[in-house]
Amino acid sequence: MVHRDTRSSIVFAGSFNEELISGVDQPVRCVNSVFDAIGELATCGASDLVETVVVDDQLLQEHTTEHLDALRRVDPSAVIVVAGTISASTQADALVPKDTTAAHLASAIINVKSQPALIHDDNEVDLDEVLGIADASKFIKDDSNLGDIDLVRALMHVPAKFKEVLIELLKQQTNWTSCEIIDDRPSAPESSQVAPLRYGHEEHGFLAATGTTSDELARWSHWVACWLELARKQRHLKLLAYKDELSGAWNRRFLRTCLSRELQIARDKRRPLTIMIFDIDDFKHYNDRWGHDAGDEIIREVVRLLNTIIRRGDHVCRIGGDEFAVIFCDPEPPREAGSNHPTTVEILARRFREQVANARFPKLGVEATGVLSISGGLATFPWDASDIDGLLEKADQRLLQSKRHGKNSITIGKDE
Amino acid sequence: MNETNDNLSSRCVVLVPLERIDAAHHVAQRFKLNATFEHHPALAMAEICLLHQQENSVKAWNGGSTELNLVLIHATEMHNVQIMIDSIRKYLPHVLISELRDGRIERIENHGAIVDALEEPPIIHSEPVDADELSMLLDQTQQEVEE
Repeated sequence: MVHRDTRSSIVFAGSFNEELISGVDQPVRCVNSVFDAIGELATCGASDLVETVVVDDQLLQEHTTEHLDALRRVDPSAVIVVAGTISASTQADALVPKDTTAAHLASAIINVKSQPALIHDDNEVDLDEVLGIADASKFIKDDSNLGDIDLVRALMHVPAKFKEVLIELLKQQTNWTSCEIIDDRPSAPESSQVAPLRYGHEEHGFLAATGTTSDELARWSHWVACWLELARKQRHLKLLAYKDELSGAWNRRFLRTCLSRELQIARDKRRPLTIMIFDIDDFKHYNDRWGHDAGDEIIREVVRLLNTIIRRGDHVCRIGGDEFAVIFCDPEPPREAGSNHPTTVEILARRFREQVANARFPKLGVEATGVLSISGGLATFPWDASDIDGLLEKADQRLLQSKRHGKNSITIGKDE
Repeated sequence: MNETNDNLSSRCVVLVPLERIDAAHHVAQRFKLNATFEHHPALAMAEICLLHQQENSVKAWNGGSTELNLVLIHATEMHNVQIMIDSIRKYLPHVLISELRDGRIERIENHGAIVDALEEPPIIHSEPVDADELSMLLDQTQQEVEE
């Protein structure tokens, strides 16, 4: 097992003054050409990630676009800074003067990295799809004999198509010319009748139909509203069963269910699946010193930070008091030349650790800024283990290893 | 490397000037290259790097590996090709670099690096010595011994 310091480095391509190079507070590699910079980006390992490439504009000459494209193609997540007076380098992430200082350069890089990331809305997650509940093969619909049983089946196996089945059944039962569920009255087709879909205090939109009477529509709209309310409650209960109330993250039950499904997909599609387990260093100390409110805020903030970093398809789970798991489901198949290289999990993990270290927690007071740290471990299918328990165990071992190495680190297990 | 060589059926990147792309397609068809065409040395190197990364991933799954090839077609018409070749040899030494030469795809051997690695042999001048010089040298040696 290899413990890695995931400290990232900067590649300087071209000629830069010694003062700048020696003033940078990161490992530095100096190369003489853009081609060498591409080589550095492509061959760096998880322990010596190249995070930033600073290119002397003299090297770009009249091929700025191609050179910067090439760097981006190899690692789209790298920060590219052009140093010089070139004005056409808008493709670069940042421009600095050739005689820039280390502090100015660091500031430019931080500005690039701190640009807001996409925050994934949990509402976009199809819970049933993720959990493997939405298995259409279990839903056998007989179009010639639609009945309530079909609605129950749709609710259990294909909730995303529930409304569709509901409308289909309605059409068959009523022989209306047309009918649909709409969000507001103005959306209703001309010459149609509209009735609100209301169950108690819960609104579910409106039912619009043509070829009906208002009494008939009122009766059926109540029937439709009952079913829609049942579907809403069903979804709400499932969310309660799989969500952590305090942080809004998924819970341990979700972790195992989801991991089982994602592992099967990873096997079928021959792609990697990584799990990271981490906890907050000395969390008990924060709880004891600043109270449980502060501890709760830390938990919520950590989840919020993590949600700004993960990609679509990744899942954050709170599996214990201050223990979390992140399932990194790489949605990209082994990449083809010409496409973008997917952002590596190692980079995501390292950025997250840095963000936590720099986060502000008002309830801890100003003196506590920057004192929070996390320790974690990563395990990847198929290299580290091939089943859920093996992956979790390996990630957990590496978490303990991070603790033994003085905390505030993430141990990655990929061998050199 | 000749037309029946199977090495180039593995993945390869062809670096060719844009205006010569027709010739490149013809060559690719003739040699049955599974090729990606690039028209700038930096982008060609980026593609080779990506193939290398992909290769690593495939190797992790299957344990096997295939050769990566870079084929240069009329590449002398482009700038910075030699710098690109030097960088590829430095970072991805396993990549096979070939070029279209006299209608054949031939490997570019790294003769320059081999020669650079050799040390210059010592130069020994063996000029003819006549009898007087020999006598003088012997006498001098004799005197040094006596002293």
